[in-house]
Amino acid sequence: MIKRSILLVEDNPDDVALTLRALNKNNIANEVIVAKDGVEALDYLFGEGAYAGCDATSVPAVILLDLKLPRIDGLEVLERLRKDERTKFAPVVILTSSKEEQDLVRSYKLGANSYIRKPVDFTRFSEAVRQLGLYWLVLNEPVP
Amino acid sequence: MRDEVHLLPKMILEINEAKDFQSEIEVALKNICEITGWNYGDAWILSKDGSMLERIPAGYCSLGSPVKFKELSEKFTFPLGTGMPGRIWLSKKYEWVPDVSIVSEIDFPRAQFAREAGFRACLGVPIIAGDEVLAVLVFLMFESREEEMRLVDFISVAAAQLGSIIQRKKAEEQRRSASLYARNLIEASLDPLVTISSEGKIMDVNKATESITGVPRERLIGTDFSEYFTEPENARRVYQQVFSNGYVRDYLLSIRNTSGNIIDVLYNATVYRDENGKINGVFAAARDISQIKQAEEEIRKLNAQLERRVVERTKQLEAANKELEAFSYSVSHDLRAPLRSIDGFSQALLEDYNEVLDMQGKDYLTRVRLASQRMSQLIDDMLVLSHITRRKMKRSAVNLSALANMIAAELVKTQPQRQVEFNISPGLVVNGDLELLRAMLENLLGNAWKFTSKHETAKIELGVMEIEGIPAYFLRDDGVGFDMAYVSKLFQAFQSLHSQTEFQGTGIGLATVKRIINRHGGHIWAESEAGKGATFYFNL
Repeated sequence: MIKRSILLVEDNPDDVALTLRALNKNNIANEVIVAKDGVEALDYLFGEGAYAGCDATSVPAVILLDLKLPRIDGLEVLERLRKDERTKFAPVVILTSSKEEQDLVRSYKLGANSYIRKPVDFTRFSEAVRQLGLYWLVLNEPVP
Repeated sequence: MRDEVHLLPKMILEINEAKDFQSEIEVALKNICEITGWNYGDAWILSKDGSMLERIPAGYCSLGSPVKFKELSEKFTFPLGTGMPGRIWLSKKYEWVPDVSIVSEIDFPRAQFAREAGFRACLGVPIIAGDEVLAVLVFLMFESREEEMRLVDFISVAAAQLGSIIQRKKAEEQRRSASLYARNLIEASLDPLVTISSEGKIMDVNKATESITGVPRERLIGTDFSEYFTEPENARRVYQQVFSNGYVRDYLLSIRNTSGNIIDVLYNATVYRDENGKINGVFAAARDISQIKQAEEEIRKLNAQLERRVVERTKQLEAANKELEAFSYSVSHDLRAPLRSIDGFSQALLEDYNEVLDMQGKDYLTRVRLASQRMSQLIDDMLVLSHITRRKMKRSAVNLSALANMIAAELVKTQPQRQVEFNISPGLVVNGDLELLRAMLENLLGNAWKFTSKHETAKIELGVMEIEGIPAYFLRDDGVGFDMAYVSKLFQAFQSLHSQTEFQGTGIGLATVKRIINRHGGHIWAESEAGKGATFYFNL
């Protein structure tokens, strides 16, 4: 069985490195595609722009989405995903610094599956990544 | 007598023509003396204080009569009841003395002067009007003469005439001054006053009417009153109302001035009647309220201005709030990202370069990690503080006792081994925002829990007491307390009265508590003695 990919939408290279490290530490070996902003993420998912001609039929096992992104922000990415038939059911985990109530509420309203506030303490962050990996990549049964 | 009597009308005519009391008396004395042959006549009236009789300057002396007697008489006064004038004043009856040269000075104080002047016969006559004596006339002549009824009758008739003329003139004068007084009052009125005939024609106006209309009174009188108002039909309708109801009160009308100015007035009018009760017309007053109206307009404008300003300020405030929100969002988001890198890569170093790092290197990295985590806590607390300030208040009845019990149970769970006795008074219900009050109690109870942690056993108490008639809630612990010297720093953000090694904390907790209390319009204060615990009082 080919492991389905993980899409990490994150503009901060440090956060990218730390997230990759956490995945790695927890032995999550799925391919990780990194999109540095909302535009790149959408291009990847719908096979457009830089990803034109790529196969857009395979939906990532999980999308780790930051909220504050250049060009198109995380909430808008989420909104577009949910409107498109291809990505309507893709698991989206919001991974953000913000614990503002409004961000949380809006994310869930737009159809986020989970909302994780990145802790400063790397040990706790790593634990959070382990749990989300376990749930979305192992336990969760995706929509056929 | 007949000859003398027909001289009376001429005398009356002359008296009538006299312009004042003095001349009336003078004319009378002169006529009587000339007609009836007396050589001297003077008149006596009551002094101003009513205590005696004084001679009035008017008098009569025939040619050749001694001036000295007149001069002496001028300085004379008679107490009431004394001397001939004094007696007559009280008796109201004439007195005739055939010869004053032989009478006693007691009865006739001027007898000696009269004798020296050569006077003999003397007659005194009162001038009576109604029941009142107006004056006493005294006549003297050089010859001695027995009382003559003829003369007495004539002089009495003349005196009576004089009395009635004086009385009539006095009454006329009174009427004239009363009417002048009324007219002066009407003219002095600042409100325009108008009388209007039953046909609606102006009959009389005052000065204020001239100035409010800009029309002189001779042109106002006789014209239709309604034409001076901006709405003549309306004015006529009010006028009809006065006739049907007898009055109208504070009816708003506008007068058009000849200069084109419109003056708002309150129209007040009543009917007025003649002696028989028949309605003569309408007496109307108009109160110029243009200044009041102007003031009202001014107030309206100011209110509108204020309203605009409030809207503007509200917008500014909203904008400021938005900015603050954006700021704290960015603080929460952007300030934490570098901290994650610091902590995350320190951890990476500790893990991946474990063999390369000696103990000291590892210790440094651990310190870096702890510092970044503490800063993260500071940021979070700061956000809580700003959130509490911005949060919309939702007031309801909040049971502080129940909240405190719940929080206490949570605290016990964190360190179940501790011996802490919670003593929470039941039924402490206040009106406030549940979430804010929960945050407040979490902080206060959390502090009490924290600052009693060094003691083997501890007691934490929540209750209410009355201080100066107002219920004050209190939270008391028997922990380490604080030094009252630093009480002013207690509720300031980022001010901790204990070192981090002693008790952990960001110094935000009590600042948060104070803000919550402030937002409820209450006060918080604290008492403590170092080592003996602390008590926090608050009201909401």
